[in-house]
Amino acid sequence: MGDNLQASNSSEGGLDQLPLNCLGTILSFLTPREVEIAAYVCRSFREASKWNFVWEKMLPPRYEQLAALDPAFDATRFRDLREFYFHLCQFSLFANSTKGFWLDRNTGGACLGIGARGLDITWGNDLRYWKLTTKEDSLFPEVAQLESVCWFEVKGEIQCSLPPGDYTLSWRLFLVEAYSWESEPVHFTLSKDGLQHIESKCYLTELPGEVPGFRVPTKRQLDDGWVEYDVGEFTVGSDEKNCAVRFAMVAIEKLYWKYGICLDGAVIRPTNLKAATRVNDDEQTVHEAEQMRCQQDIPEYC
Amino acid sequence: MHFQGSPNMAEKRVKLISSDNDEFEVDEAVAFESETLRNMIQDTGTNVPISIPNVSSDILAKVLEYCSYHAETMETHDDKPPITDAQIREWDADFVDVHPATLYSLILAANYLNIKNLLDLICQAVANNIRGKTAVEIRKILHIQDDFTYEEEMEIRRETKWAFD
Repeated sequence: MGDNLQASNSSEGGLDQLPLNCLGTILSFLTPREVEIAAYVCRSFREASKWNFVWEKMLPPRYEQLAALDPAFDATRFRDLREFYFHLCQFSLFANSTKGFWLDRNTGGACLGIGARGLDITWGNDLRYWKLTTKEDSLFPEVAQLESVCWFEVKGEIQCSLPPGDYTLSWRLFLVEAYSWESEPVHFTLSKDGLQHIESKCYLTELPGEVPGFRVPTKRQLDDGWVEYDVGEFTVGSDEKNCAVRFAMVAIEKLYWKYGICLDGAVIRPTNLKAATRVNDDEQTVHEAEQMRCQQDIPEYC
Repeated sequence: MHFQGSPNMAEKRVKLISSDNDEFEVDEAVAFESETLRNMIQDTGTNVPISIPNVSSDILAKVLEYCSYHAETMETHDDKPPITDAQIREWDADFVDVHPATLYSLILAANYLNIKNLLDLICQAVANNIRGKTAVEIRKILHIQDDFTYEEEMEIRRETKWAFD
């Protein structure tokens, strides 16, 4: 099909003249972000963009199970599926605030997080070694601050009902005050249902560089100072209702003292998500809105 | 104009009349691709020609071309290998590679005749065309006028501002 989709001529009217269900069908093939942009095209597109029929397609398969994780959740209080969708895009805590889930706003991809309190941290209950505290820009309300430890071992497990697809597991760490980590690399492992086992190793400090013979996890420095290590991917098949994901990071071979890291938790996101967004950042949106109010002209992106 | 979905002589034939009074004759199986026609035929039988007052002959011909191909893909022949999904996808891609004005009329026809797969196929083609574009670009591509008032525009921008980050 050519680039110039000239549906409109004087006798037939443009695509905006199509019945709403046809416009809705067109929109249902787009991503949530594209639907919201299409709502800006004209009145009929906007009307079609609010249809439940469209947002049913934007929600991930088996979204009811995800929504049910939040015990306070009440589907009846939403006006429509669009509102419901945007509610699910907000980070919601469950399991006594040790875990959280949200939908990526741009794509509807399901994301899960396991906070420090939901992880099995060796010596984690001993205040000489680890303590729970709060930290700015963390995903979870509480983070685990490492005082000092020889035996560094953090393990996690989550039984979940994720929509089919490929997912990446990332650890969220704050390394600004970390030291004495060059004695040995951290060994990351990930497996799903005892299969799809993945290992990688790296030093949390820049030196002494890569570990021979091991895959290096992808490290991403986020704007807010946190660092994410993508330690591996796993696949959820379309017939899998539940899966158990196990993961760990350990450094227990040399037993030198290690200090100062801060652990937020681990996050599972669809692999195809481009940006390493923390969650859907409402603060930024407010900021953008402020900027818009100052602008006199219609911004270029419209 | 005749469309032969099947060489089976026992098959019932259905007569259709377009808005410009052209007559089409197709196998019942071809007409059954359309839910609307299926209901009409089940109500009135195949003896009376069915008039389709809001679909012109050129568009009806295209629609029936789609229906007869897809009715054929459902059949099994001993002497021919079955049509693969890849072949169907290729045929569908060629089918929607038409002038945009034709796509518009095809959407209306597929909607009226209630042929879900055809409606999805064309709507997806349109969606692919506007995917990743800005609202201004979409208006240009689809020749749509911006009909919002200034107040409405501000309201939408408040509602959907995140999408424009």
